[in-house]
Amino acid sequence: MSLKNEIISKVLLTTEQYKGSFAAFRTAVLQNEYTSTNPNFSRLLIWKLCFLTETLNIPSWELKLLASRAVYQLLRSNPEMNVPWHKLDKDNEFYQPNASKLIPNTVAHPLTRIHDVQDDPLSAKTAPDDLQKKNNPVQTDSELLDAIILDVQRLFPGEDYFHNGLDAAFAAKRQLITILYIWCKCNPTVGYKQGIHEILGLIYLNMIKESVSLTNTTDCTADDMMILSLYNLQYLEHDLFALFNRFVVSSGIVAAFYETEQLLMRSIESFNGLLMKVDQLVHYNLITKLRLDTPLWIIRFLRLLLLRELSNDLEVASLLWDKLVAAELEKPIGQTCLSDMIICMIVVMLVHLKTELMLCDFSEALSLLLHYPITTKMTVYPDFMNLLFRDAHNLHALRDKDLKLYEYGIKLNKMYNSKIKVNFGASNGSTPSSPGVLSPKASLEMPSKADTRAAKLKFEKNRLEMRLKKRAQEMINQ
Amino acid sequence: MSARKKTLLKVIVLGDLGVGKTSLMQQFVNKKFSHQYKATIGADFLTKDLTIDNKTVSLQIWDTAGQERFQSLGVAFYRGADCCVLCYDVTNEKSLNNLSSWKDEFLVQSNVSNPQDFPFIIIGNKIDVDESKKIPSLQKKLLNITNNQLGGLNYPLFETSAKDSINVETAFENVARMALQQEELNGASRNDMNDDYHDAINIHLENDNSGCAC
Repeated sequence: MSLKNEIISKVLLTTEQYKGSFAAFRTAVLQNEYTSTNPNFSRLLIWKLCFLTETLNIPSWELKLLASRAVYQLLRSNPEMNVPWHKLDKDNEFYQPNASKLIPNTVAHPLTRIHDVQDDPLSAKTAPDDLQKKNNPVQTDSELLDAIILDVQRLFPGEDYFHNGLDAAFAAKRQLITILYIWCKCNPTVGYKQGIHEILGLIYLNMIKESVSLTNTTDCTADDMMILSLYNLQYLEHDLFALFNRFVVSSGIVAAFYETEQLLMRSIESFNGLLMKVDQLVHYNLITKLRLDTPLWIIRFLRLLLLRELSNDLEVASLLWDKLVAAELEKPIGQTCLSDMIICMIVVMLVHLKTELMLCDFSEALSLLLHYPITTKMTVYPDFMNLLFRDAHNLHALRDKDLKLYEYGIKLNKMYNSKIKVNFGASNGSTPSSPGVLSPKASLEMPSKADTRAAKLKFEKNRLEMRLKKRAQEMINQ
Repeated sequence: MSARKKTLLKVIVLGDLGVGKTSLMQQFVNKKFSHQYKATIGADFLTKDLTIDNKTVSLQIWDTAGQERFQSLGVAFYRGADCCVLCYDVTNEKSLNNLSSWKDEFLVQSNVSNPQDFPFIIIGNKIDVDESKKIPSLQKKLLNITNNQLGGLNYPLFETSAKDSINVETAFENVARMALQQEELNGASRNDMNDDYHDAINIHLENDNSGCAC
C-alpha cells in the first residue's frame, strides 16, 4: 500500500504546488524546476499528463485515459494486428503456437468502445501501394516481426531491466515487440525503421518504473483510484502505445526524420541553413573547408532525439525528454515543434564543439561528431542538459528571424567560446596565436564571401598553425 | 613530412541488419567483442593504421546501418570508397541472397570509375555458431552466388567469427591490400581533401560559396 500512498501524495502535492494549473506545471518542467530533485517529482505524471490527459484536473483523467486505452484495445482485437508469433522459428524464444487458438489478453474491466477519438492511429490514411512499397520494400509480416525482434533483443545492452534473463525482462521485450508491430501495421507508409525501437524503449523504462499493479485495491477510495488509474500497470501497454504515437507521430519526428528520405534530406537542409545563420564559422569549417557532408553524421542525432549523444546515462536523456514533452504542447495546432527543437539543439551542440572542430581534419571531425564528447562537456558545464535545452528553446522561438538568430549566435559564442577570437571579414593585422603551449586562445579570422583570396589563405594558414601546434603538443604529451 | 605521407583508404562495410558489421569492425579495430552492440543508426566510422608492404596506410572504415539502403544519401557515404566489404551471416540465408543487391546498390551510388573490377570482398560472419544452425549446403549456395556468370560475385571470400576473433584480421588485411591497389590505380588526388597538412595551397577556396548557398 505504501507505494500507492506515495503516488497519491506525490500527485496531490504536485497539483497543489501548481494550484491545479497545467500551464504552470508545464512551465516548471520547461524551466528545469520540476526535476528529480523535487521530492514530488514523477516523470510518468509529466509524460502522461502532457500526452494523454492534458490537464491537472484529476476527475477528468478517467475519461481521457479510457478513450486512449480503448483505441489500443480495439487495435489489439483486430485480427490483422495479431502478431504472428507462430510464424517464427520454433527455437526462437518468442515463438508461440498459433494465436487464434488462444484467448486474447483479457482485461478485467472490459473497455467500452469510444467514438470520435482524435488521435486514432487507424484513421491514418493508407497510401497507395506503390508508395508503400517504395518506402518500405522489405516487409512481409514475418520479416517485419524478425526485424523488430532483432533490434529489441539488442536494445540498451547495459540496461539490466531488459537483460537480466528474468521473466519480467522477457515479458517486457514481448510487450515492446507487440507495440512496435501494431504501430508498424497502423503506419504502413513508414513501416519498421531502426531507431523507433529505442525511442519506445526509453519511454517503456521510464513508465514501468512508476507503474503499479492495482489488483488488490479494496482499501482504496474512489478518489484514490482516480489518481492511481494513471499509474495502472494493467494498462501500461495501452498507454505506452498512445505515448509513443504522440511522441513520434504528432510531434513530427516520424515525418521529418523517418518516413521518406526526401523529408529527411529536407530536415538536414534546414539544419544546415540554421547553422549558417547562427554560426557561420562552424558552418564554413565543416561544410566548406572540411567538406564534411552533414548526412554523414547527423542521422543518428535526429532519429534518436539525441538519446545516444547525451551520455550512456539514460537519466540524462530522460531529463531532456521531459522538457521536449512539455515543449511539444506549446506549438500552435497543426504545427510540429519537437522535430524543429531537435534541429535547434544540434546547432547549439555544434557551437559548444566549435574549438575542437576547428582543430580537426576530416576524419577527426567526423569521429568527434559521431562520438560527441558529452562527458567532457558535462564536466565543464554540469548543467549542460538544461543549458542546451534553454538555448535551443530560445533559438526555436527566433527561428524565422535571421538577424535575431545571428545575434543569438554571437551571444552563444560569448558564453561558450569566449576563448576563440573571431574577426569577421578582417583581412589584415592578424596576430598569430602565441607560440609555446597550445592554448585555446586562438585567433581565427573568418573569411567572408567578399574576402580576397589572401584573406582566405590567411585563415587557412592560421588554422594550420593551430593544428600543427596541437599535434606537437600531443606528441610532447605522449 | 610529405615523403612519409600516410595513405588514406576508405572502406565501406555493407550487409543486412544483424549480420555483425559493427562486431567485425570492433573486433578488427579495438580487438574486442561484445554481445552488446546496439543497432547502428545512420552510420559509424572508425579508423585504424596498418602497415602494408612497408607502407603505412590509414584505414577509414564506414559501418552502415543494415536496414538502410540510403538511396540518395548513399552518394555521400560511398563517395571515394577504395574497397567495399559485403557481409552476410552464415546462419541467415536471406542475408546471403541479398549480397548482390548490396553490391548493385553500392555501384549505383558510389559511381566508381571501374565497376567491372572494383574491389569487393565477401565476409561470412558467425562461423562460431553451431553447425546445425548454419545455412544448409552453404558451400554449394556460395558457389552458385559467386560463380553465376550473370553479375556473379566472384570476389575473395572469408569466413569469420567476430566473436572468437577468427579470420577477422586476415580478412581486413586483404581489404587494406585491395583498397591500396585501387587507390594507387585511381591516383591519390581525391584523398587529399582528407589530409590538410598537404593542401595549404591546394585548397579549393574558389568555390567556397557553394557550401554556403543552402
